[in-house]
Amino acid sequence: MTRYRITHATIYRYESMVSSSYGQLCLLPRDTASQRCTSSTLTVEPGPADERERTDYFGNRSHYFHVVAPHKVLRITARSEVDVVETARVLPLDSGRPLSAIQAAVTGLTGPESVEAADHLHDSPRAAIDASVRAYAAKSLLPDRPIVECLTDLISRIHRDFDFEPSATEVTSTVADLFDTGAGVCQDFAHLTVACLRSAGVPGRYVSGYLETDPPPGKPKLQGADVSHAWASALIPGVGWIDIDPTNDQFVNDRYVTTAWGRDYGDVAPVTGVIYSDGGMTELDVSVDVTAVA
Amino acid sequence: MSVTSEPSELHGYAPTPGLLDEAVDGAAGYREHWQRVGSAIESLETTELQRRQEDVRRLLAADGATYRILETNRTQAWKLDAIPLLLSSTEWSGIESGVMQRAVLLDLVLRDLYGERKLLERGVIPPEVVARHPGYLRNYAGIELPDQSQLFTYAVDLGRDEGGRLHAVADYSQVPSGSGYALENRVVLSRVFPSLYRDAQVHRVAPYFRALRSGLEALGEHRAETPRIVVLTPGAQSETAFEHAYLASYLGYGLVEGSDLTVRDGNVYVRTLGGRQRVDVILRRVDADYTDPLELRPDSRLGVPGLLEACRRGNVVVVNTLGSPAIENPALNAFLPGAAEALLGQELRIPVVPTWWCGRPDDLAHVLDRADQLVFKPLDGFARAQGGMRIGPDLSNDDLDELRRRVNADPGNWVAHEKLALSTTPTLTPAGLRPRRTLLRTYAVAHGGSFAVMAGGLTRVAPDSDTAVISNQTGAVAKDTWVLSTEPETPSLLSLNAEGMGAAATQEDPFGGLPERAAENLFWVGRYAERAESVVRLLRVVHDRRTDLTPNDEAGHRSVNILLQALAIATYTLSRNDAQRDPAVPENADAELFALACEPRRSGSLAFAVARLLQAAEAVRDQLSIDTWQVTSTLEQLLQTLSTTSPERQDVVQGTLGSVMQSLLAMHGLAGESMVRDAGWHFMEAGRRIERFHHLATLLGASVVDERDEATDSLVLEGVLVASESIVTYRRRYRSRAEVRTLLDLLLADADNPRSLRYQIDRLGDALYAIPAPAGDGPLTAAQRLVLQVSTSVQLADTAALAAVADDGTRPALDAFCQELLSAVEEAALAIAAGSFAPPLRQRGLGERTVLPAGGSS
Repeated sequence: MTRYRITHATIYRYESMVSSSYGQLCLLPRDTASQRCTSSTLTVEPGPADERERTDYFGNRSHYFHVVAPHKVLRITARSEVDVVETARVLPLDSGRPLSAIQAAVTGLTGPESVEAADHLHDSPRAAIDASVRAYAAKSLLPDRPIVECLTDLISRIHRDFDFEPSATEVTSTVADLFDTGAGVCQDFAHLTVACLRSAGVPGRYVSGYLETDPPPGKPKLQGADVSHAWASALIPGVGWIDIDPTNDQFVNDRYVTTAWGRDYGDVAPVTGVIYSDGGMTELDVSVDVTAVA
Repeated sequence: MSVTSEPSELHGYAPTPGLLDEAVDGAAGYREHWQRVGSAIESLETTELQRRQEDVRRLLAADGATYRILETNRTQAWKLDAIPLLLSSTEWSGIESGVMQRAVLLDLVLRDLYGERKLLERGVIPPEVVARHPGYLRNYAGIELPDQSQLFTYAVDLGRDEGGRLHAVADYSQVPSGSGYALENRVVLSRVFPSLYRDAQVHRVAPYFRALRSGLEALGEHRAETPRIVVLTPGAQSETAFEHAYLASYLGYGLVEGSDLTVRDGNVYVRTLGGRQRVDVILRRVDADYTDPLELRPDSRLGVPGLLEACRRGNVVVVNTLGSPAIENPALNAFLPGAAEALLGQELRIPVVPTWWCGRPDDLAHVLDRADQLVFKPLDGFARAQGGMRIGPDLSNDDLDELRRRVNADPGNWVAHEKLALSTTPTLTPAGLRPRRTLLRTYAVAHGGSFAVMAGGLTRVAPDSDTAVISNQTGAVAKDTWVLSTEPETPSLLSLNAEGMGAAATQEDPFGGLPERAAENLFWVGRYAERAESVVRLLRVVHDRRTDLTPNDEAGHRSVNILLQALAIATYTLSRNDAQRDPAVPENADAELFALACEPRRSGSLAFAVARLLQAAEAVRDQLSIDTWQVTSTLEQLLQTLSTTSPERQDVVQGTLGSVMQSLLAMHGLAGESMVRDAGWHFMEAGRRIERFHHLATLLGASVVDERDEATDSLVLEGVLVASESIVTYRRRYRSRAEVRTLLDLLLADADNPRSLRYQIDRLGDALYAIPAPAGDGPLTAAQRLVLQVSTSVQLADTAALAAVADDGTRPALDAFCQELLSAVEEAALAIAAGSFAPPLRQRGLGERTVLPAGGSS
């Protein structure tokens, strides 16, 4: 087991005074089969007149807040401690089962699983399944190929075919944008992965979270040098959701901490909100720290 | 079939061969329930019928009954045919119980979709059908209305097959529209045919609206004894805007737009000058996904951030619920018979039009085979025009192939249903009575654990004999629907009031006090009028100075550049900090000056301010005097001139600037002499004072902080005095070259100079005392406290110290002082807005980047 201490700070600076700010946050890690959030706090400054936590449709921890104190700077700080159990999440996968068997198993699902699968089998706003997605997926997701090889090949190709370039895309980018620019960030790669899975009849979901990173050799780890991360997950009937990370071309392991999941980024955006002001945002600072403490 | 009946009925009315007619049964003549009304209509000459049709048109126009065509974005008169559709009492009782059953069933489906989801888990409805429909709102899961019913109002389109049997074609649960039009149809037709209407013994529609009213009140009962109920409309641009206002006034509820409402502490409030009034129930006419930009569509400006959270906490009831659109799903018809069996153990009393969901392989095969006969609807076409519908029989072979290809590529997205033959009804055309295909929309509202069905509904007929699609967007004509009773009813038992005519007691004042939107718009009338004036004055000073320049006048050139820069700062073109970092001369000054006068899209320009002024004035038309309207219409023309003038025509621009100034002065004069000093006036005054203060403090900070050579400074100070309309007083009083200290005495500290900062803040203070204080503040409102602070700073200001020059050649004290005043007065403006009519400011995304280079104000 590894215990991670995570600090995720977001600071918005505005051009003019903001008189009212409504926000919805998806920043605190949920419990999963492989992790437990042992403590967490969320601080919004200036202090909200109203705030509340709830569990959303996907079981994520969602926060509502409303700040009424006029402000030009809004700080949102999420701190949490999460115990991650070392699970070899790949091992239980029956690596011999071909994709076609998985597809058939998905079609044959009944009960609550069939409802969950249906949410993750079709277009979602940022992960539309178009002809280019189908064509891209078809090269990796071959009916007779064992599912593990399908997944491995898919994320390897995405890792190889697209450049990691933080400036290439916006937070609102879609899969089509990724194909246009040929470059993107983890969010875009995760969207492409779920769209590909869905196009082949495998339920795919989008996962947000963190990845513990190593400092460069011989250098101390810098505060706030980490970033929030995103990857994809595939539902394999009889096994469960298998998390795969196209950005780093690997299956997800115990250095990953999950925050939330949904159909795409839109369901799990860390911070969204509505403000009332004469001017817009001038500066956004995000800093993330992921430290293994035990 | 080739027999064409001897056309004896209805002035030779000839039904379309092969189509069933509502009134006439081929050679057999009138159907039984049409006998009486048919003969009465027949007894009127065709010219008399046309005259009645003209009466219909006139009455509708008098009531302002309109409908907006989205494609052209134009409002057109509501079209109502003088001939009603008749339904016999016997058939009606079948329809009524069928619609009731369907509403009960859909209510259970709706509850299940957002609750236990047993229907999905058991596969009674395939999960994909629900998951893929854009009307299924995942954020709504788990929310329940306090009442029995989750479905509140409901409508269903019914049409006949060739055998005359009625089928349910489409369900409406998003914002079932048309009930208000049905009411208006009844009001008008009962006036045009008073005796016919009386003799025919028509069931009233008023009981439906009473059930609607009592249902809404019951929904708010757990919150308040007399719950506050409002009708939420998208505004004047909505296709059914008339109906929203009509229903609101008929029911006696306030009509609000999203911006009138605010969520605080998880409650919804309507903003009035009398303070925030809590809202308990919202009758929603805004599409669900537009109602909350926080959780739903972030680009919506029609909603209320936090509304969903307020619903979730049970602090407000929104009907139809935000989850309701999920059952407006064209694929459901394929599964409703099964759901009726599973949930009610019953068969559907009104059959569904035979429907196939292509996600099932057998259905897909059937549909591809018969594509040329069926009507297709994509699940993701929800909320698109006509739902993205394709009508097989109307498509060419190529189009059919394309359609089959699309359906095959993603079968789960497609639904197909039989094309109903539809019956025809006699409809008055310029050429006489003609058969037109007919669709009946019936309405139900949750009532006492079940549903009350409106007796009748909104009948619509196709615009011509060829058209089979019946939509108001494509020219359908409405008909009143008369359900004939077998026995005379005692009106007093049915309706406490004459049907339709102001049936409900209108609340004295649904909100209490001047609506905030009015106050807010008056505030902005004041601000934009003053902003426009300030910009004109400064533009003219700069223009005049540049005209006077001689090539060797170095001080003159320098002073013009400084004034140009001050103009750029005052119009939000340049930020103060950028100006200090890089005091470069604005490039291409001519083009820049032209844009600042004439470019309506440029946010700091004169044209922009005038356009916004006119917009704000338009929104408070009823608050301004008639004379004011003459001025605004002149301004409108001047704005037109400004925005169409070419940059070469400096003469036209300068001439127009002068005329704009005169109009603005006339407007101020009218505000001073023709408006009652009520709350609205004080808001306008507050707006004007804030803006003048802000402009002057900006101008001072931008022009007199730096010390330059005496000649340049003297010209700059003179320019500032001219732009502040104080040069005459200054010369008379000081009789010397302009100096910073004396300038500050006059423009900052002088309590009697109507152009000074001191004067503005004093008047602002006066206005604030006259404005109703928002509830919950102490002895002083937040705005008053801020104004008091600014006022104190201004009164205590030591002009000698402010004018003192530091070693670096600037006046740091003055700079800091101006900055401090500016941010305090900005904050005061926000506090007034927040206290009286928040949101005063533009709604934006939390992380939406600013688009203006600096400063930019709404």
